[in-house]
Amino acid sequence: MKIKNQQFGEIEFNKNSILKFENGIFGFEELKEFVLFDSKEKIFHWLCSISEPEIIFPLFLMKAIDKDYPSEGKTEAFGVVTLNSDPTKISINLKAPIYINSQDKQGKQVILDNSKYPVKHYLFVEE
Amino acid sequence: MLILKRKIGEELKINSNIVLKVLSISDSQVKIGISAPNDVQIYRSELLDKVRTNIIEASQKSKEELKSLNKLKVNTVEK
Repeated sequence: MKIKNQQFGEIEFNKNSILKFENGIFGFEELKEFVLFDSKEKIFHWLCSISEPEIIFPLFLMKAIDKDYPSEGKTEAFGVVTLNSDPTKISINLKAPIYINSQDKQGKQVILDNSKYPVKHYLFVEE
Repeated sequence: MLILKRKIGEELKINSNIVLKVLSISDSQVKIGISAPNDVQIYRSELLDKVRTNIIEASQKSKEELKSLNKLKVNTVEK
């Protein structure tokens, strides 16, 4: 299957790889089907809506930021990244993880009740 | 908006499986207990709004050009 997006051009994917988000994503509750892929820059994963391909989010693995990040069953936790032309201002949402189960292709986003994790956490700092 | 008066210890039922109970009241705060099935999402409204705004901003900025990340490292969460 194929979708088209201004940023990545044609995105090809297998029907079996479609991720179902029963409750959508916060702010985009009506979008239920997404595809997850990697891009050549190899830093972010990209979650793209199938019905609205211009709606796309860069994701980053939570365990790379916090190895104790709350897990949920056999899922992988990702954080939604807000890009910025200044890399030190790129932020990740640690408060509202996206949990993806790559086996049953179910995804969901929740809000954690934990003050340790902010909505805006700067993703990169200078060495 | 439906408005009801309740006393401490009294409950409200929403459908047959959600119960709100007034636990305590102080000058400017009320403590509410909620029993609901696991798949019911319950969030503080202002936090949900903040998350929604952030996710919408993330989708709008997804096309920002990525500059070199040389000399930067991932900002891990401190213990």
